Amino acid sequence: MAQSTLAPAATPAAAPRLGRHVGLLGAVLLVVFLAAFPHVVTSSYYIHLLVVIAIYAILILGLDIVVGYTGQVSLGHAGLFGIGAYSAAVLFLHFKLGLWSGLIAGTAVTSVFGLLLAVPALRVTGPYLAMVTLAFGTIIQIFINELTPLTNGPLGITLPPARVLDFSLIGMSSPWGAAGRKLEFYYLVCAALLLTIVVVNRVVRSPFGRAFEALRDSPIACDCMGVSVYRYKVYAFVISAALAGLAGALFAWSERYVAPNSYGFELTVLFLLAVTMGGRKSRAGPLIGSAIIVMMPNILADIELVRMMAGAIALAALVVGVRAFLRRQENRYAILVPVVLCVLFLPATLALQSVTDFRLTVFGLMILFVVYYLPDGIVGFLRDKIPALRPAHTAEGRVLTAQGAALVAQRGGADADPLLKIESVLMQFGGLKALAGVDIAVRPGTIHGLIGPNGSGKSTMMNVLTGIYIPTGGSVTLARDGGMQRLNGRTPSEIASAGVARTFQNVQLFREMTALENVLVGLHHTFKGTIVDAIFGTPRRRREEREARVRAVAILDFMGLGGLAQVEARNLPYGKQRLLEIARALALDPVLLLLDEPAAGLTAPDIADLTAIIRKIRDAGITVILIEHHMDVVMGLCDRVSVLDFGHKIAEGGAREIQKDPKVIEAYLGSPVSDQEPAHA
Amino acid sequence: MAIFLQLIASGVAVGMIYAAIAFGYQLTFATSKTLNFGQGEALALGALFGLTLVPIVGYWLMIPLVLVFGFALGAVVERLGVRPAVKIKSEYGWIMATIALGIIFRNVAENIWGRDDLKFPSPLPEAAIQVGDTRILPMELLIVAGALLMMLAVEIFNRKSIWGKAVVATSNDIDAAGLMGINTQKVITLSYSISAMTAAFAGVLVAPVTLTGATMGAVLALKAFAVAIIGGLESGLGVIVGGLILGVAETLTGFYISTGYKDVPGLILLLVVLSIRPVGLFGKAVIKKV
Repeated sequence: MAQSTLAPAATPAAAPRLGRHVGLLGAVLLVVFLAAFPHVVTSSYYIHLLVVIAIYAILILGLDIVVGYTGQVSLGHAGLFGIGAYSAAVLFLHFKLGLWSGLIAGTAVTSVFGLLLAVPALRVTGPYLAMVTLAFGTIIQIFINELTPLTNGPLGITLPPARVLDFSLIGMSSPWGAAGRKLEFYYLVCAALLLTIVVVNRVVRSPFGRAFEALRDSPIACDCMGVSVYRYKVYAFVISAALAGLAGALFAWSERYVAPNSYGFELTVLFLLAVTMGGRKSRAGPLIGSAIIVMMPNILADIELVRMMAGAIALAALVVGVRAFLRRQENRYAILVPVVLCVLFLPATLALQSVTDFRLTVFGLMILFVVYYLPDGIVGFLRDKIPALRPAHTAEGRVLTAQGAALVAQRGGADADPLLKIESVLMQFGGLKALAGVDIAVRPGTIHGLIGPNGSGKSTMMNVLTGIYIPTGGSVTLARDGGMQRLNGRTPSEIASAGVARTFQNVQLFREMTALENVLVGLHHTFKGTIVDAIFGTPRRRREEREARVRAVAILDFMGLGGLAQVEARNLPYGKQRLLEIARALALDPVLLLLDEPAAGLTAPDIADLTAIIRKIRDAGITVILIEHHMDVVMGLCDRVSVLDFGHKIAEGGAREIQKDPKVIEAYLGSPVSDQEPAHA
Repeated sequence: MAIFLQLIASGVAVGMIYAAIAFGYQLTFATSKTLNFGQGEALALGALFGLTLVPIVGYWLMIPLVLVFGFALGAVVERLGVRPAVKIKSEYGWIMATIALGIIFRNVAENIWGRDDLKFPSPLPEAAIQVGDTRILPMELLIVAGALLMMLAVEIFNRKSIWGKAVVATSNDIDAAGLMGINTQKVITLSYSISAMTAAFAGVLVAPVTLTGATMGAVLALKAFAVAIIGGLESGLGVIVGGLILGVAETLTGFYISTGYKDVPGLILLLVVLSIRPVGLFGKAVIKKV
């Protein structure tokens, strides 16, 4: 392949490789810190504080899957946390079941509620989802309060000290004595935290994690890659809820008391603050965020400390502000307000005797600060400043040389039966007939052009073919495995899985993912591993990942994008973005590829490359439907062209015939002879 | 039957409060596709501010002052919470920022007026009027009349005044409105002001029949969102229908099941409507363009 020699077999830069080690180093430091802490600091108060931080961190790591990876706002996580806590406590209250049953029940019951919460999340996003999850959390609180026979109502439930290991069962006494027994629960929580970190790490780096990010960046493209948005949102919510439930059950046994009011709106907002402030899409972020929200009330209780911190903040703000004005920085007026606010913070703390009552105000200010000045959180800020901390995107199977075939050859060629039959398709929006009974038959192994003036129904046809619109009438069938498969009425992801891939007129890439990851989402169908494979990192999972990466690089090379594999899609030039969309569509191993204006916005040399690529795709036996406004591209490439105008097919035939067809000329230019009006230039 | 009518009568009053708050959601959502998650706090602050003013200026003079206060509060929320987030195109940003402002307002209110619920003096006699078998509190009539009047006033403003027309134009197509020389930024601020003003007024109306406190608005605002969804967030007076349905459903639940569960029907309704028909009962399905 010509491209493969041109594209450098990009070696991963030093930075990502270092990033890998930073992650490992962080993990080792965390383990050492957690193991040593109770031996260095013996105060049970601080050990308990660390336990709470770890428990919150488990929940926040799970919340990050929903907030960071799938990009949904959940205000229901305090409710889920409460369900976990109450599951454990109720088991004890009614059945005298201890810690371990509580942990299992908390995780299981909360997962089921996560499933319930996912139902509205399938239909709505953004502010709607925020309100729905808030309503969910409120309902949970009401039920906990009112179902007194089950939950003991507003009185709450008190639990005895947790028994982590029961040595009497095997007729032994504890090998580490009474003092060591107190630490058993601490180490249990630490183990749960580390386990959570490992599980979340594996899930987000698996095809599941990529699906989460894909549905965040472009739900429509995600569905059209055969990755069902519905299914993966459910996965995300259930995993997230399971972790919230685990955290809740641990929390119940750590506090040894549960009460309905502990799991309200404030806690939910604190969790969101933690995830945003620490940094989304990272493991370190939730840990930092959790530490901040747990320690903050303690810090605020110490007025002297608060004053000192306020002084330090005021001084720092003053320095930043003065420097900005001395250097006449562009943003000097923009930062004026926060600088003044930070400075005013000091007299405010001096005037107050206690800031504990203003705890929520402080949290609110922190949220505002984070949203506007630290949107990527502390970890995101550090990654931005210190390249060595950036995540290694190609962490696994760093294969970047092209091997293997980019395209899977399809049954194409001389077959006379059509591959795709569009029969009297009608698409009606209210009174408007965007498609008024169109018949098209696409023969296998051909490039079929679809042209027509603006508003003629070309894009509507694309959307009907890929299931984004359900046609009002008519049928679409695809020849597959010897039979004809109906496509109309099926979901976009089912149609994609049947072998129909597409690109979009307005580029719909997964913007925050690298070029390689974009193609890997297209290759989602090659992964047969389940969530269990992902969590345990089984050999099957590792093999599939390796194979997919080899394939992905081969496809990128084929499209001439080999050197850009590790660039985030949003940072690619526009022309390359269009090519990447085709690469991603090819990864689906389609029998039919729909290209919606692939040449739009491309330069002349790029268009020449693109035509060559489209020919190669056709030569591999993949049938192509091409919508394009560049007539030279259409006429040069297409074996057959259908012309649409106002939702009707007005002509069909070879490129030459079409150019001469009077109806086509009329549709594009108006009627030439009978028109009496003088022609205007 | 008498009890049933009685319940419906009080349900109608509560329903109008929901309708008024939901109306406020619609206003800002129409112009900017954003809404104030701290709407409940605007309501509570309006009521508390009114409570402080009543002994000084009396009930009737207090109302215009509360309206001015709500108007200013809305502008502050828009400037601090919404505008910067919309500028960086962050949906998460404005959701979190308006929540944060709500928390701050609530916390400050708790520090000024205390954590206990306070009794709001009723401007009308507290003795019920007997209509047939049903007893209606004069205050409930005032709530219905006040809420309807408020919504009517805003509608007239939107239809007749030049600024109102700018609001309508911005709601229809913000880009085109901007190109026609309308300062859409100001229009959005205005819509937030009117929205918070409506909420503050609703707070004053509802305070005499409930109690006044910093947390009084939280659940009201959430249930009002359910009403806004049922009525359709885009526009229309479907909120009145939605408010009445919810208000009545709630008083019935409170009476026949338990007052502890009276918030549940609204919240369940919200979950169900959004799970099944997100555009609301009166909304039109939107065709997504690809």
